[in-house]
Amino acid sequence: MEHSDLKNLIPAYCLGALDEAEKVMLETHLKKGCPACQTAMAEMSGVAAHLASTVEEKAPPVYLKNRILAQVQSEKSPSVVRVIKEDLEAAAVRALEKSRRLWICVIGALALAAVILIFLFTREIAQLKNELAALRTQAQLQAQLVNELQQQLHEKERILNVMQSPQIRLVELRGREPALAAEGRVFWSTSENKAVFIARNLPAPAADKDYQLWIIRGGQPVDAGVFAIDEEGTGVTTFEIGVGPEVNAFAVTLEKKGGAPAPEGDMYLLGTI
Amino acid sequence: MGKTQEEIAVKSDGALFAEMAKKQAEALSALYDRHAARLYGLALKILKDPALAEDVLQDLFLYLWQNAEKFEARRGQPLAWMMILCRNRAIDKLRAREKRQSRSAAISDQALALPSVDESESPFAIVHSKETFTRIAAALDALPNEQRTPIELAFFGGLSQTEIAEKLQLPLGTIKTRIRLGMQKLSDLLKDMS
Repeated sequence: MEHSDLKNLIPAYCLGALDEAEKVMLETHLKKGCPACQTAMAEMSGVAAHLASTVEEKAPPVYLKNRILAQVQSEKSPSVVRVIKEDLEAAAVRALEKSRRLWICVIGALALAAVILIFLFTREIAQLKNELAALRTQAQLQAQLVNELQQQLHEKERILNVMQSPQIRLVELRGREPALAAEGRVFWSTSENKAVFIARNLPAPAADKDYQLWIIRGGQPVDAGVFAIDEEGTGVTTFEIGVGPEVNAFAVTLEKKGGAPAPEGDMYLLGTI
Repeated sequence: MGKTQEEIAVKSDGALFAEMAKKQAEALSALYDRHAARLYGLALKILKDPALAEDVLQDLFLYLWQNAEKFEARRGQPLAWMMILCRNRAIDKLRAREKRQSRSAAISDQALALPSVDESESPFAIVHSKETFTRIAAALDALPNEQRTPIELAFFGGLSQTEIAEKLQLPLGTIKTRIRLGMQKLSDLLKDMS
């Protein structure tokens, strides 16, 4: 479209009478800032505004003004409400923020308390574990001691039982090379068919050796068990005499740890009947 | 504190807009008293329905109340601004009413879209004395009928040039020419007045 054609659209444009396509074309052109068209726009807009003024005045109904003023007042009121609402919202936000900070403090304090408690509990648990371990060890030692004492008690009971027997045969054993100072006694309860053997002054055996007691019956050695001695070389044991050929003697030999099925080591004590 | 009636009455339209921007209801009241009859007359001429014209006026003054600071910032011609706002609202209502009455004309009604006289610019220079109004009306009357009628159908009837051509059963080019010539003649007459 020519520029003159566009400019000719301006009067109708100012009357609101252009079709859509023409209106778009003109507005696109006006946006480019054409000075001639802007002058024409100002002029024709003025004419359009004057046209409105040619209308005869007509008094509106009286109530219309009151209606408008009442509406304006009601427009003002919501603004007061809005201010109050905004204040309330701001207060709510502040309260929320305050509450949030408070919660953060509370949660922080709780977390710190939890950490301290966990630390204390952990330390306490570690201490308790140590104490428990110590108590267990102690209990094991106690149990071991009790067990030993019980064994000792049973041994004493067995010894006492034999010694209280109404028929006791005493067999004395004498030391032999390499323990001439050693000696021993067998208290043989013929009624119980049990015996108590007590040895003295036996030399301490090597770590891998044990003293072993033998019953010689019918000329053959029969195992009567190994026994331990204390620091003074004293050892006590009880044993069953058993049944079989006639008992000829009692002897003690030094054997390998735990004893041997037949005597192999040196004989330290011998007592014949 | 509200102003006295006397204080308000001597204020210019621009000063009343400044008061309205500060939410002084007395200023709105004074502005209404000063211009409501002319605005109502315009709305009634376009709509020819008192109830709809009242709605236009109510809507217009509420808009002025809510947007007074916009006018104050622009410092244009208050009455010209109000008249164009009133005209646009009345035409909007007219279009809406006619759409309801003739749905089959919906497509052609699209052409009625007003180019929305830009309310952010007010190059108008209306001197709103009784004498001026009479002279402007006389200038319009002085136009030949063949030019005045299409101009009035466009401005007060909200019709497009195409619709005017159909209504008057004249070629579109003829209508375009008559509107352009008529508007130019009015402009010349107004220049002579000033």
